[in-house]
Amino acid sequence: MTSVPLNAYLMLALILFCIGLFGALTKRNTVIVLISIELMLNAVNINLVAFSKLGMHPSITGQVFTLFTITVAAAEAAVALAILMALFRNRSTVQIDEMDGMKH
Amino acid sequence: MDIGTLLSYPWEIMMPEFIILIAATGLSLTDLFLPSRVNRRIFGWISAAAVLAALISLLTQAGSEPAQILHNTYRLDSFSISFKALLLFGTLLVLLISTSYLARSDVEEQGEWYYLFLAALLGAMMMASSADLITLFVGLELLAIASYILTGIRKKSAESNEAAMKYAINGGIATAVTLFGFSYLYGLSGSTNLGDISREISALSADHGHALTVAAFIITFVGLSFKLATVPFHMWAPDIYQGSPLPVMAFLSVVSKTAGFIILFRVMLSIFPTVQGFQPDESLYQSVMIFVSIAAGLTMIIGNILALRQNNIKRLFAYSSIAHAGYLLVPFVAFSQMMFESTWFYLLAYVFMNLGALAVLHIIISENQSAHISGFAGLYQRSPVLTVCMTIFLLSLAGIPGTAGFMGKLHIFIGALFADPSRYVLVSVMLVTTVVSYIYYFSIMLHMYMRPPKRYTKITWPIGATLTIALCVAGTLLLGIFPGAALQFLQEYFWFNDMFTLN
Amino acid sequence: MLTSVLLPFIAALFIPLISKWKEKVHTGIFVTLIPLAVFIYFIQFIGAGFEPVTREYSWIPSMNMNILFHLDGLSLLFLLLISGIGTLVAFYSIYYLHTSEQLGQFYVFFLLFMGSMLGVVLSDNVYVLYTFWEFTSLSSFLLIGFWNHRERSRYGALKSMLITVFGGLSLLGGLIFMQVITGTASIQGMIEQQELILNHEYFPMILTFLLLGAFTKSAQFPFHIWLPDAMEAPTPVSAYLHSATMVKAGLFLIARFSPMLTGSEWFFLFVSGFGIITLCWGSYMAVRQTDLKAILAFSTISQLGMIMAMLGFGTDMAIFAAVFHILNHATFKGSLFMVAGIVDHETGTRDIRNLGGLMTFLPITATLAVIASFSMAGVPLPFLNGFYSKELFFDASIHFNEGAQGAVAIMQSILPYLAVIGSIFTFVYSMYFFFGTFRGESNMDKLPKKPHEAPIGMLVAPAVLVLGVIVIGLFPELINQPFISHAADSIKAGDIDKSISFWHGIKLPLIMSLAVLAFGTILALSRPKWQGVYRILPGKLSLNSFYDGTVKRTETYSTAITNGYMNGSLARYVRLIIGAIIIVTFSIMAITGSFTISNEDLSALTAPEIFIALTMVIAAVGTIITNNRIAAILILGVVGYGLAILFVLYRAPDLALTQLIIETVTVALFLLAFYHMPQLEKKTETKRKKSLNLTIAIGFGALMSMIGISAHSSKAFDSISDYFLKTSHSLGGGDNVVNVILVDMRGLDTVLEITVLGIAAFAIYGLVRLRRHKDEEG
Repeated sequence: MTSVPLNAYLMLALILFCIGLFGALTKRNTVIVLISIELMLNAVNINLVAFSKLGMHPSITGQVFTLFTITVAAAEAAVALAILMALFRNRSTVQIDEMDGMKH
Repeated sequence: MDIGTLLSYPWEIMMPEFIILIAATGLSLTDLFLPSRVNRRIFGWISAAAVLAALISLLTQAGSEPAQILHNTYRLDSFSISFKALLLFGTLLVLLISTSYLARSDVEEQGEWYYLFLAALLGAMMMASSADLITLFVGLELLAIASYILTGIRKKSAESNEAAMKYAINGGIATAVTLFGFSYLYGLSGSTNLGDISREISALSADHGHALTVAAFIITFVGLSFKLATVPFHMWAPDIYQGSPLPVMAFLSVVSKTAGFIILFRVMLSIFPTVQGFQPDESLYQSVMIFVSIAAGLTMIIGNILALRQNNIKRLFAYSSIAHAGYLLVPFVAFSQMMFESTWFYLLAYVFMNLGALAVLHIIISENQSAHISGFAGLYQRSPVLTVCMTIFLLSLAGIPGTAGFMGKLHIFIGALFADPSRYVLVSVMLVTTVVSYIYYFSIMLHMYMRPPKRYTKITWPIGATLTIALCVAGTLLLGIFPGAALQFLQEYFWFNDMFTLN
Repeated sequence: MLTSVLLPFIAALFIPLISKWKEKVHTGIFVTLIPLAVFIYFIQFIGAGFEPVTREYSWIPSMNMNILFHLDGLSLLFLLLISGIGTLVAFYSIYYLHTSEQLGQFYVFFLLFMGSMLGVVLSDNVYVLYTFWEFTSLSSFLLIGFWNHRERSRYGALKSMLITVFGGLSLLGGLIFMQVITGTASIQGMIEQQELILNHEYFPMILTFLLLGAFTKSAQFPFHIWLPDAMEAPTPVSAYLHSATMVKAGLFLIARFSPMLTGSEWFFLFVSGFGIITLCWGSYMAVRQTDLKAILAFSTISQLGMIMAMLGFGTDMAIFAAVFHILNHATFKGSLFMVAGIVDHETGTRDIRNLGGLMTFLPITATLAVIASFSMAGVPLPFLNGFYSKELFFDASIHFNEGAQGAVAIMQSILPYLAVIGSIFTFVYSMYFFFGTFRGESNMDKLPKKPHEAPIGMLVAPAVLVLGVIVIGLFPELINQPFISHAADSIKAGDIDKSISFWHGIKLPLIMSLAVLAFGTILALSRPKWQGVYRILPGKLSLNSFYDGTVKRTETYSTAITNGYMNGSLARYVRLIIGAIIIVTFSIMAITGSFTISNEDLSALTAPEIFIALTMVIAAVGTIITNNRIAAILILGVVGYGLAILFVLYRAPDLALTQLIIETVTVALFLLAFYHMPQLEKKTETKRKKSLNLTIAIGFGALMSMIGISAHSSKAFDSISDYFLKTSHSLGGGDNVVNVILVDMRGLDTVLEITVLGIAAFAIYGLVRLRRHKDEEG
């Protein structure tokens, strides 16, 4: 098999996931937040594929799963962008912390 | 695969899904080619009819043997039939409210509105019937994406857009978290089939991979709690409910929440009860329940306390729906014999009382052009019948006897106390928070009966909302006074333990 | 029997129609007939040979629950009270409420209450009982708020609701526990298995729950605070609900469960203790009131306390006296409320400081009042029923079962003194009520209206009740055997056979009565001098301010939490969520000791893999820190392409291809979106916030890494079981494994996915189309 151990990949995925998370937490620009979410989803993909190749019970299902997540994530990002554009037209802002029209 | 194999599948068990799929596709194509000046009001009744047809065809399946097709990705058992019935019925009522709502709103894409609802419903139904993580995930996303768009469908309203944006971002994060949990489940077992996963994980010896299993449970639970709007993923609900159009809010708070419970039950119960827990004599499911019960307790407390100070009725109902999700987690924690029954019954009661209340809310909000609570002032003088209906719903939500809500709560209480170990702490939390909830439910009644109205104009009754209110009043009272009928139906036709067979 | 309970409910449905149909005729006339009918039906059961009757109706067979109605002496007593007083009150209200008021509404609530109350006393199934129980609270809420233009009215309504419903809920808790223990929902069934409950480890909790339910409903100290505020209700309601029937539901409950609970020390201590405290506190508070109805409210509280205490004693004598007093109290207190209503109606005020000397204007009313209030005070005259039951009460308080020890013995020794003290104050306020209103100087100019005698119709109801006082007083044996004894029997299984007579000889009870008379007279005559003393207690320490404070504090907390926590900021929500995950998972891991770290078995990484991984990490960091959005999206592309290369290394070419395409499309999409959006702003974030975010993200990362490492450390990876690789050709007839899976084995998912994409496409089209419209318009 390959010489790269599984947990190196798991680590990589985790690092990506956390960077994404950090971005989603701190970034005020909605676009960057969306990008951060993409990062998190990429991390999931690495996990799935790594497991599919190196896991306890390797099987190709992981790759299939990844195919679905990639596509669906893209659709989600597209919808989010479209919503953002609609919002921008109405509010002229993409800053996330200015979205506080509703409170209490 | 040749055509023979294809035809050999018992496709009829997917009949309800096909009906919805065909209706959604048909409506979307018609919408595309129909000139924009043609009124699309008829779409509402068509989709309602489709949902009704699907419901009927689903009910004919009641009592059938559990079956799996399509390489065990699609599964029809008592659990899926009974909970799909809730989804379909809830959507039917939401569609009825929609017909009234759209008649008076600024939504331009009326065609889109209906097929998005149908698509979301389809996603939820697939979740109910899936026995595979991938199917589950795709169903979840279908529901989620359609809901994002529905939330933001009032394109010219900044509130609606903002709600949609927040929903999409929160939803995106939740999806990532859920998937992360799923990826561990897959990694531990090498399969995405729920039955295989359960088998493989149970086969792991107690100390091998335990950490990952627990992490998978927690992360998946956190991700799924987004759909349920329970702690820790509940904060989105008030903003999004407030910003979205009322029927969408109804859909999110009833159908989408039901779907959340379905996926929670399906994933958690299929996989974890057979896995060895921390102590030798308990399952992992029981071992981690302490955390779920903390989440349930916090959900009830936060939902009910925060609802107290809301002046916006939609926000108030958002918090109340968070609280109800907390109540619904109690049977899940208790894991007793009555778990499915209590959850199903409470969800049914919740469909009736919450959708009924929201239909009344729709009438009030569109009369006043505002969602402020003072819109209820003096309702009794303006329309006694509407007031009595709303009173019934409120009493039921508060859990006063004689109504469906009480019977649901009673079931949950008894189930949790009978459970082993008895969950009396959780039950006490539920009792105390119920008292807190009286304050805000009764303050609405105080407004309706005991404050002077601002105007004395007559209230008009739009047909769709009226129909919903009538159905819901009947349901709330019947379930409250004769719960025996519904329970008997459930026991006669459904044998929930078949969820665990055939894998 | 079911019909009799349903009759009021059914009638309530028709009331709105009737009140519309005959607008000129007072709706009350029709309503009066209903309790009368019920009364006539149940009075037939009275007789020496009465036997309990049980009826069963099927309800929820699957939960083994049926509607059971159990008619025994106790329920018969209450049924007759409810329907009898109900008839009188309905009749009285015809004159009290003017047709211009919302009569339909009033009588609907009234009937709702009556039906529920009948249900409470008849039900044998605990859940049916609870249902009706909450309904009485609810209708009380609606009736108190009937004159809802008053702020006090709304306040009182909500207060009574919250307190009684809280009690109801805890009652439910107790009932469920008992059902869980005994396996039956029938009260009689539970009583049969009393050993099971009494010896259960949760018994103290069950008892607490039950008592909370009963005490809140029957306005026992410290839950009595709702009753005075409930006096905002129209007087007929006060007379009916808040003195004669609803508040006695708590007594009924205790009496119902007495056969099971008597004998428990806790039961004696709590019930007698709180009862006697209520008696003293209520009568003390009544003396300092100035509102006629407030005096009566506190008087009701104290009388309920007295009955409660007797139920707690549990001796034959005490139970007999309790039952007897329930009946007596209904007669004299009911009539006094009606008298207060008449005074209010005729003079326009209920403030006793402005009243006085009304005897000359309202002679008949005054006569009724004197009899009723003297009966309440327990003045030893042979035609006052109040005296008999008070005497029995004294008797019961000095005759306990022998052999008590500890707290029980102490309690038994102080009870007689407290009983006397409470009765002294009772005497004082009774006298004050009568003399303050009807005797003394009249000050006409302070009255809003010039008083004259009430219409005959209004006097009928109190007159009937006063007649009851006298008849029972003169011929107590008339109701003893056929009626009271049966009720007492059903509280304490066995035969309670007591005789009631005026003269027992000079014994301790009589001396106690005389002491009350003496001290009471002194205190009543010197009442003005004590004004200052009455004012001191309870002052600010009152329970009312506690209730108001609690309600207010809950709301303040709610506001504070809402402001501090639900502030609409997305970042904060997510921070909280992730923080929760970290804490929960860490604690689970720590508890179970799941963290195991070992370095075995780690082989070297190849150079290209390390290179790609590093690039991806650097790129990811770059995405986050850059402030140029185009750079950000391009760097995200780098991560995506890195991923694709990883896929290639994994020999997953299909995935790599998909990833490449999707990545390109995504980057293009983002770029397209940027075209319409403003430049990124340079933003300043507080150091604290930034480090908080960093901590959370790193904490999460650390957690996940530990999980990952321990996952690796705790298992060995072995063989491939490539089912798909082996079977794809034979099953699917294709060579590309992934394709076969997608099309054949994952056909359903693929269809769904296409739906997802389709929906997304339609939606985006819809959302973007608005722009086009706008352009056209503009």
